[in-house]
Amino acid sequence: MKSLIHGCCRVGRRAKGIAISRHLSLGWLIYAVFFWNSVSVAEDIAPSDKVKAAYLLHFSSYVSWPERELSSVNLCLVGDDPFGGYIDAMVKAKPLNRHGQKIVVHRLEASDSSVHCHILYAHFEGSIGQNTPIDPLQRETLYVGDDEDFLASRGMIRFFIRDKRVRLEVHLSRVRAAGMSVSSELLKISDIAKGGE
Amino acid sequence: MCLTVSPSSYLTLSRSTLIGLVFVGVSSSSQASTPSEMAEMSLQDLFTYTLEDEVSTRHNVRGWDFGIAYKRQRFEGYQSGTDKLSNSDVLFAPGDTRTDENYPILPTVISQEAVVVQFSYQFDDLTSVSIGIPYIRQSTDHISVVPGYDTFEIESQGVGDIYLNYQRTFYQNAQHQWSWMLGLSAPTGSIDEKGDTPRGPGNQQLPYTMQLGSGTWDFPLAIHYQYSGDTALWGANVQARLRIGENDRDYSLGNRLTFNGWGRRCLDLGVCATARLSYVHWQDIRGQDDTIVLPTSNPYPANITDPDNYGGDKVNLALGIEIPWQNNQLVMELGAPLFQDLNGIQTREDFSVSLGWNVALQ
Repeated sequence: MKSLIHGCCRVGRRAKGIAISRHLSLGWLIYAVFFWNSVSVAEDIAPSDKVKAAYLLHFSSYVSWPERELSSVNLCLVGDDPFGGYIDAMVKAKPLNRHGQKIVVHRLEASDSSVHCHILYAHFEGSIGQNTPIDPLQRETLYVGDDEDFLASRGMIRFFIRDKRVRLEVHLSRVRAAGMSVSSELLKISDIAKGGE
Repeated sequence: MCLTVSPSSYLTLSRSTLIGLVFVGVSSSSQASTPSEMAEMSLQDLFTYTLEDEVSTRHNVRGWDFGIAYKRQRFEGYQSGTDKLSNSDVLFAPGDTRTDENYPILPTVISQEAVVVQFSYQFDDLTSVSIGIPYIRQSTDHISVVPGYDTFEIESQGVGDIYLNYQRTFYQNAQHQWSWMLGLSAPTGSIDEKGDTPRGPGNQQLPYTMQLGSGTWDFPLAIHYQYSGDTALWGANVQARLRIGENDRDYSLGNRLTFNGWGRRCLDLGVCATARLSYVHWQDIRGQDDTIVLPTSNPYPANITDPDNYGGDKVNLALGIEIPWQNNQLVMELGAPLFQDLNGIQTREDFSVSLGWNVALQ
């Protein structure tokens, strides 16, 4: 058996020529492709909303519910949905939290209590706060919102912006009163609401 | 023959397919932006995430990716159209009538290996450029009726055709993404590989299948679509490789068109399973390298020296697995043809296997 091993890195010959006339259609194709450059990015999600969505998913890992052997965590979005399909795509990319529990996103009407919401994010343009129309029948639910007055009523965690970063304010006593607990890791990066120690 | 330019029907998976499968991007960015990137951020990452930076770098997530891929393909057995042939059907035996369907020299097993090193630069979250350098090794076992060459092997190895690809996403939302790719493949792979064959004493020019490059400037083009379903990712793409002019040896490898449909489903711990169904159409060789033919009425001593014995249609199925960790990703795939319709008389593909590693450089 004979064997020939040729050395590497030999540069091949260049093409003899370019038959332009045979490839006019190729030229048009290249032109069309190169100048088909307009980019459409649909569902432009605000950067702060992306961070909030990521926090909401993390809450499922850093908040404990009294319910034992929780196989899935229901994340309910009530009111105006600022996340669109973005949060769904996040869940698709990472469907389980760090405890191996499945995260399920629900979009509910304010009065809908058909789903037990472990986390309920309420976002109502212009009508947030004490009048936030969230279902009072939800129990053992982590209420999350954005409005300044959100913690004054039923709210437990509030997003706010400080130093160009999304921050958390936690009403700890209300969370505990509802039978839930917040991990120290989450509390380390959160402000504790006045009166909510 | 060059694995990356797939000059013959031996190659069912083109370089662009290989790159597309093995060099799946591990995006590199200073600030996460895509849903999957955001989902992977830790609490501490979110705590330090600056909104202003994210806004200013939303379309400016610059960074380098590095990837290296190994691919092997094996070809054995003969086929004409869809009809399988045995070696004895194709090998000319003394006493037989010599025709254009039997040959005194017969490749029996062809093995091709390639290691492709690729660097990609991400200009923003929509645009990237990559350069790939393939190193190719290939060997062919033969039988022949030429005295002293009952069985023999020829090998060639070296750098193949280096390519530069530009890819841009022109539409995306949470579920759909469209992008196009335009590339340029330079004729850096040798088309002057020589070896000891029964054609004459000493070393002679080897057939098309044993060369390392196309010898022509080629244009890889592609349009990709990706859909994020409820439980899996789905995608399709059309890839073309267009070759310009003829090389110095007066031939041009055939153009190639590939349709791929694929699915990817991630299991626990982030490990993903992939499946891909592809249809490939490729053309025969235009022109001829006159140094590998004989001045006789039957000028082709082996089927691989006849330019008409190239091209055809194939349907391939490939199954794979992707294992991500931190900024790295390991990709493995095993493929085999489900259907082959080959021009002339050709060796048919047996299987292909590929292994790739990608890392996002910080």
